[in-house]
Amino acid sequence: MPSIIRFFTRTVLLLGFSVGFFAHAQTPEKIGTGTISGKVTIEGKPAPGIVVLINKDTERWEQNKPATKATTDASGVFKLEKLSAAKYYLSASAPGYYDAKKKSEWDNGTQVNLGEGEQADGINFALTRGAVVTGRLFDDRGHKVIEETIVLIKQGREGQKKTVTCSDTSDDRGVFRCYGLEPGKYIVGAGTDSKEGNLQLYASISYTRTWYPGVAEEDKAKVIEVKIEEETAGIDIKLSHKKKGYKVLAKIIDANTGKPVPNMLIGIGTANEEGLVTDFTFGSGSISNSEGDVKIEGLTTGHYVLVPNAMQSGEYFGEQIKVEIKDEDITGLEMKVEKGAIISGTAILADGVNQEIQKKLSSLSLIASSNAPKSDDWYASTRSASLIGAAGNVEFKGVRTGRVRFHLNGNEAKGFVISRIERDSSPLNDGLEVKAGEQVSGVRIVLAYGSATIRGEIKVEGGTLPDDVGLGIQAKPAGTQGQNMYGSVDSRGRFVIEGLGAGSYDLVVNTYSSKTSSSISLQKNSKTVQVTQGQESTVNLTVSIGGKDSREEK
Amino acid sequence: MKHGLLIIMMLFPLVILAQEKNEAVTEVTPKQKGKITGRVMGDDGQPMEGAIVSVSVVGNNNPDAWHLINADDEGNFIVSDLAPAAYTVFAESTAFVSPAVNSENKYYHLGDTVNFTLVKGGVITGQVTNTQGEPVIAAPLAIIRVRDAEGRKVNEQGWFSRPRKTDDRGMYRVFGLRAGKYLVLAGGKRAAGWGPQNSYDTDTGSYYPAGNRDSAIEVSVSLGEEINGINIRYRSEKGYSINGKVIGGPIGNLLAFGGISIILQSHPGHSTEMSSYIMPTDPTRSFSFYGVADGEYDLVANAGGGWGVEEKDSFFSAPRRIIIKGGNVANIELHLSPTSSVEGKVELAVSPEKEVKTECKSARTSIPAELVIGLRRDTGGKDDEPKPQNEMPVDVPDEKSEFKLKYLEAGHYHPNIVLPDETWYVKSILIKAPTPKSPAEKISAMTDAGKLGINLKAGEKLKDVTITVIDGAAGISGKITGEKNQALPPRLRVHLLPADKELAEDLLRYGEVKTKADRAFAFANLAPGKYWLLLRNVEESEAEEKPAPPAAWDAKLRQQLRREAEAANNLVELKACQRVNDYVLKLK
Repeated sequence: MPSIIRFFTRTVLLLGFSVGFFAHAQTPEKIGTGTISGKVTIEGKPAPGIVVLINKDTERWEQNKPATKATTDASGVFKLEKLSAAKYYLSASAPGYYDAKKKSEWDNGTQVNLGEGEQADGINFALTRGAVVTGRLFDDRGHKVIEETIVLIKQGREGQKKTVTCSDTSDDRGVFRCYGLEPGKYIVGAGTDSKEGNLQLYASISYTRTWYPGVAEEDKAKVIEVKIEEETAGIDIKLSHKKKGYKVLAKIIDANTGKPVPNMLIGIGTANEEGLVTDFTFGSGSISNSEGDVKIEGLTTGHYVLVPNAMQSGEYFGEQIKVEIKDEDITGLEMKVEKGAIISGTAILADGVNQEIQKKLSSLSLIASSNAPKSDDWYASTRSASLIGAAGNVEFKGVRTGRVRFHLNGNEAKGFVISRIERDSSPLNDGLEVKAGEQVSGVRIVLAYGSATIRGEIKVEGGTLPDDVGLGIQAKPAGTQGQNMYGSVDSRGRFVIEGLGAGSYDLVVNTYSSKTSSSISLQKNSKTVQVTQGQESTVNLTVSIGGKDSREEK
Repeated sequence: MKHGLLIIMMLFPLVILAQEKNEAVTEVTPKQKGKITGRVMGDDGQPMEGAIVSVSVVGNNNPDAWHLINADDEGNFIVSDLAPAAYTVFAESTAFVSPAVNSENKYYHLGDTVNFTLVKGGVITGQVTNTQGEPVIAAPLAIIRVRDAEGRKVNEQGWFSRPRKTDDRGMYRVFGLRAGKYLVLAGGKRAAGWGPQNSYDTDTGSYYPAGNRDSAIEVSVSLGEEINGINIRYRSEKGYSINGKVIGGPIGNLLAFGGISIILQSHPGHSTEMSSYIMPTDPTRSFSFYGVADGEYDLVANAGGGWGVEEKDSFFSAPRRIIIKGGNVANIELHLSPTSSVEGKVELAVSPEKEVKTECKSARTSIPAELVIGLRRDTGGKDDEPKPQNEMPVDVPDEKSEFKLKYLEAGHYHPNIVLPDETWYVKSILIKAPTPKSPAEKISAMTDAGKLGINLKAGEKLKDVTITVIDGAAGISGKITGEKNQALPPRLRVHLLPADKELAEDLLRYGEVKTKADRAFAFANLAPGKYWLLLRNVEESEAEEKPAPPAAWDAKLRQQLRREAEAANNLVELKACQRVNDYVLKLK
């Protein structure tokens, strides 16, 4: 994609995604006494000189922050020392090699919940030399296809499929080279799905998804088998180019006044066959002008969705509009939007909190979220953010009709919890019902600061959990209105739950599956714990897997 | 030009592509709509189907003033339903560039046809290996253009269509390069963002061939050329970090475009080395850079300038010099101060002589909305200053002939007005003094911005600038010749000076153009009167993309020019509407 346009879309996307997510300050590095070590192997043999990247949980979303590095020694062992107690993520940075544990390039890696002074050993990485697939892309006119994304789908033994993205796009000769692939069977394709629309608004030309050796249907694609360190060349694909340049014109209108609404950012999304939004972006005409008009150009045929108030920053909300471009522009669309509710009130700290904590309040922000009636229309839900003003004042604008729930937002909120919400002194236990245009005042959000930690280990007896099943843990405040606190369990079964207020909690262990929506029921999976501010409590749990048929539908 | 694009133009070596301009006879009225058409071809004569063409109103911040379309299978494009204004038009296609380099913006109007010829950009390939000779895999490549096609110094951060990385053999291939000389480096983290991490992020980046910058070798590449074997020995050198805080700036603006950008520029040269972004919602206002190499830098912050951001939410910081020498730099404070603006209107004066009107025929009639009002910063010859953050502020007047140049830094500026056709010239640019606050205060005279330029203080909102445009403009064009068999210097500059002593300080009456290979020169939109023409060499060090500030800006240099011009005595008298063509200017 050409530079200017790529910069434009990238910037907008970057900013778009970041709404409701807050960068945060770097805190001075604390030197601890903990250690994490492990071994990296390649096909079972020790691998020297491999870089292992480690990130603190809180630093993962810090802009520009690179990971800390450790390199394996002659026996393939790495060791990170002087670590403070924290949640860490580790991954072996070995492009060209395949790590079965890593799900995607965005995978954070292996989680380690390290306690103060703890030595976490055996954080091992088993790598395989990856396979290479290379070929050329050209189009039906004989032109080289440049900067096109290549898609590989790994064909599992039992029909499972795993989509893998190629290491880089095709170059100026149309040549692509995908490396570091897990050995196995693949189908290879390029171009975009013909049913879904295409969001590369400014790509020179759009291509219909074609599978090697030149078929449109996924099930007719030729399956190629790649082996360890082997290079499979000559995977040339001829792509047919798709007509581009359709546009969608829409007018944004205030449903109550009938007047055009300017300055609203309308996203254009792709939808799958079920009408679910799979991705969205913005075009140069995505912000409504003084006439309320938006114009999105550079579209191909396919299914699209117009997403109202995509930046979540306005006073209005609306519903998503589904459109299908067949062979002509779509004009004359009207998107009716309504002024959302304005909720105002205060956010205060519960008593007994020191000055230091009080000062942190001004760096906190809260979100008032109200979901669209259909869960498929998630992008039409509103998530209005408010900083906490000097006098504790908060104001949420553009909240859609429905039940509003309040959350603390971002990393700054660490340690804070919402202990209760009231309106005009009566408690709001199950959110707040608002209507479009309504002005709701007198909402009082009481925050508490929790500095207690529960740390421990979960042992599983009565069997082993399947590969796709992980453990989760939560602390439910006993008998109060406070919110449930979630902890994460690392690969070793170590968990940590931070930011708890003083009191009594029920610790509950459960399971989740990365593959299915079913869970496995556990026995003896809860325990009651009493915690004190500023203190760390250690709790070990031994849970047992229920009978053989314990996997049940949720 | 809309602001988003403007910022992009400031950051990247964007070139306005090869153009041809065919003016049709058109009558323009403010309400009328029209079209801009053209064609994008490859240098092989084939149409560039799908090439992206951008047509945008100069200085307009509104997204609906920007049209992006794809050329059709014949390479043609057409953007219709456009309101009268000055437009910028350019075309691009992945891996292709324009052979023409033009630092001056060309502006187009309704009815214009703009044709582009794109050429395949240069390619550099090579392998990156570590000190043990093993391939360095998935390392990002960066490229810095240090010299233009003629070998003159420039400093531009190369920007690929997509950032390229080394493959599993350590091989890389970067393409779509303009002609010139490049430094190639692997590793390092140069762009803002939250991407997947790699093990090269903390490194400073290794230059071709041996790693360090001091021994870096420039790689020369021409259009369409492929240079192989640019192998880099990767040295995993840990850089240092810079962190700090931004003080002041927009408050509580939750709009994403209202955030703060922090840019780390090299010093000197001022190419963008790294950038960071602070969310408008981030109350801590802190930023960090990692993997910064030893060296000198300038750090600047700016806020606003995006769509929908109000002027009150626009801020700049003064540049802060940072020296990295073997250690981290912490707790830098960048103070934001409000941006300045210049507001005014264009007045169309009618020339008194009736007969002039009939004589002064033009291919088209224009309206004030088609003017381009711009400012150019005068750094007083200090080349070492960080780039102004809004390098070329421009705007087009609205239906009421009013304009506003926003997002300006404090400094000294000269107006730069581009007229839509040859019949007009700028008569005067005057700033009305503010109304006296008390009767005791004297009403000062109008400030003549045409002569003196505009001095802007930080946060100053200058109003009541009146640009008077009048018809009856003259023009002169011609060719440079030497004595028989005399070789002409490759680059010459033709200066135009008012011969009248009383106009010696009126910068609006001065002009200068660089000649191209055909030795032709042309001056248009001139006030009637007596002028001197003067021929001078262009400094060898002056890059094609970065012309030196006009010589007349500098009082000393102006005096010198006048002395030289008087001695050379190429005097011409231009009457209203007169066009002198085929003037022969002899090099002596």
